[in-house]
Amino acid sequence: MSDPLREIVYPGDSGLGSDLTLLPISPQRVLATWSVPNGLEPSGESLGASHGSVNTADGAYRLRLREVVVDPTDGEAVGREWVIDVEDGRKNCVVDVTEPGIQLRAELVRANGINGSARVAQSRRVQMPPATRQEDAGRIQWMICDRPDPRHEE
Amino acid sequence: MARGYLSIVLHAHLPYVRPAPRCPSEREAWLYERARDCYLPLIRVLDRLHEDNVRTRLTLSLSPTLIAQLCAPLVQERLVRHLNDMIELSARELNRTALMPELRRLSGTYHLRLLQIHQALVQRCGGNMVTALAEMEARGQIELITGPASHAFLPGLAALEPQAVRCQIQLGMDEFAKAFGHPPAGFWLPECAYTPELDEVLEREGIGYVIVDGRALERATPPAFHGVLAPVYCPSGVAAFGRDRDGPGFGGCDALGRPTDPTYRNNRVDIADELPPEYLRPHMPGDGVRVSTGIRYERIGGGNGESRVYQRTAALDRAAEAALDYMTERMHRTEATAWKMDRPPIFVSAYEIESFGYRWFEGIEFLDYLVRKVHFDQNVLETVTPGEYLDRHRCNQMTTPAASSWSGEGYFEPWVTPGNAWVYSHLSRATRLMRELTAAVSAARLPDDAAATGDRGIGNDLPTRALRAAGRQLVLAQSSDWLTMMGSPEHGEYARDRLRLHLSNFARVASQIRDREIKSCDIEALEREWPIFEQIRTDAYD
Repeated sequence: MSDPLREIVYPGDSGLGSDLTLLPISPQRVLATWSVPNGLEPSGESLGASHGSVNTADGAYRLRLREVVVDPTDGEAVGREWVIDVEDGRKNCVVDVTEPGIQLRAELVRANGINGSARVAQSRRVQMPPATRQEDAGRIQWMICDRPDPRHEE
Repeated sequence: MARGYLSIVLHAHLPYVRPAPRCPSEREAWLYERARDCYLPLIRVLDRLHEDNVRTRLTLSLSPTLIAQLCAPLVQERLVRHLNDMIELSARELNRTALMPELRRLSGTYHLRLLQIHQALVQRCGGNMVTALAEMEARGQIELITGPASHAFLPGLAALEPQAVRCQIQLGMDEFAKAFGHPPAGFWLPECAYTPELDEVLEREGIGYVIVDGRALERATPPAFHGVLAPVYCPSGVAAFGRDRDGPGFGGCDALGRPTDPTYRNNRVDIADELPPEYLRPHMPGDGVRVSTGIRYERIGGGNGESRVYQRTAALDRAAEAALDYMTERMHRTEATAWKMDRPPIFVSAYEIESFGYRWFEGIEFLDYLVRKVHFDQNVLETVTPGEYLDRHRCNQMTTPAASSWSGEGYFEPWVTPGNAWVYSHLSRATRLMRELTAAVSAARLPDDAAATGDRGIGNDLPTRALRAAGRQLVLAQSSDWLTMMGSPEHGEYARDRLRLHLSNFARVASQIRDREIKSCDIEALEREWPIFEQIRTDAYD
């Protein structure tokens, strides 16, 4: 559905910069929504080459979703990747990922010549919901909490 | 000691609707209809249970927008007027149905019921249901909890800006404390929607427990040892109770709690849709405004030679049977599981309060019967509130509940869909702008101003007032109601209009703050037109 509130202009919209948000819908579906102010130039180099087609026309946008694998020694590493060419004027899309329960991060990149692209916006990391009961960890942790009576607070 | 616990949690919420200046609007009547069919009948039931010394432990979740409306003097006045109108109408119905014995008997029932509801509001509550509920809480009959300020879908907001979640929770807690004089015992997550990102914010705001969908515990990491039959502590220490989805719902109702049994009253056929407008006009709030009357003569079944007329006694018998089945099923599950557990299992029955009385007319009596049966007819189950459970069982498993909601699939549709992605785009831009404006106003404030307000962002200088007015509009735009209504042919346009109104108000004030050309008359007008969330702080966005 196109935006029925297009007429609303937020002051200094361009000053806010571009924005990309990932919202999980279900374990294997995520909604990416973005806004790129008019005239905004890409800032910063893209984090890496995409695995998909790179022969995109100059100025075209592409969405890259990456699985984030948290490595306790090295920090974040990148796992699988999904690349979507974005039609002109589009502000959101739904991406089907192959596995539930993974962590994702996305970036919106803009092609600037053959094999070249620059990042326009980057999302925060999101955790996709698990689809089924998790594997039993074998160890159960217990916690004791004291609960003050809220009626006697304040 | 009982071998199992039954915890009934009822969630009451309505989006904030400003009282129209001259006469109530159809949207405003949402509250009057629910007060008439659901809230006031429930207060009457609770009073009767108290008089009869029946142990009752119910948890009632009141959303901050509902609390604000229930406390507004104009709303209270109009509710009394609505009940007076309905009493007059039901008296006319006695005459109109004089020659139709079955209908005449029913109209007599409605007339008496409306008189009793009117008495409950005016004499029992003094016009203000909030004070009556506070009294019931003080006598230990109910536990009161609340939710985010405008009933925001928190996992969606968390994905946009954690500060927006903090503002919603903080403001919801403050509004509750203003009305009841103390913080809530627990917190209702709208749509039972949870994501692990909420845990830290919930703990920081001092929340004791939340209710999540049962699937959040079933899919927790690591899995909840007792499934939904015991709460867990999230890593922060906030307790999460899983909504019980395993048992059958209410007898004679579908999975959504809508009545299907042929003896129950048909809620879709109201005399407001059947009788001539000129007959109804004197009892309607204003020209062209039509509200439901709650006077309905048909039952769900009937036809093909059978009478369609609602038989109250038969319907109440069916509701009593449903209450017995509901209790018996939980008793059987208690027997089947308690021996495996180190504590009595808890069945958290969390529902929208509207299911009782408003959507399912006999639902109020069902609750009454259920509580009485648990008290008198067995010794396996005991009613408890989540807070009471935590007082008795302080040691619980620690795990991370899974992202989930109470929707059919248990995830985030219909609140996150491609069809409403544009809403999130607006909310994201507006929220980022709010953060930027907060930083600018805060930087420009003199240290003395900050000290005078305890640095809680509730100052009264014009820039702070403007920022708070903008913040109120943003909070109102974040309501999950607009996302829910968006797909409905009946309410979709209203939802879009409300979003347009709040976001354009926000953008206009934001523009004034940014350009340092704040129009005090505009801010005053917004404060006057939207008398809600007076305590909004701006420090949530710092």
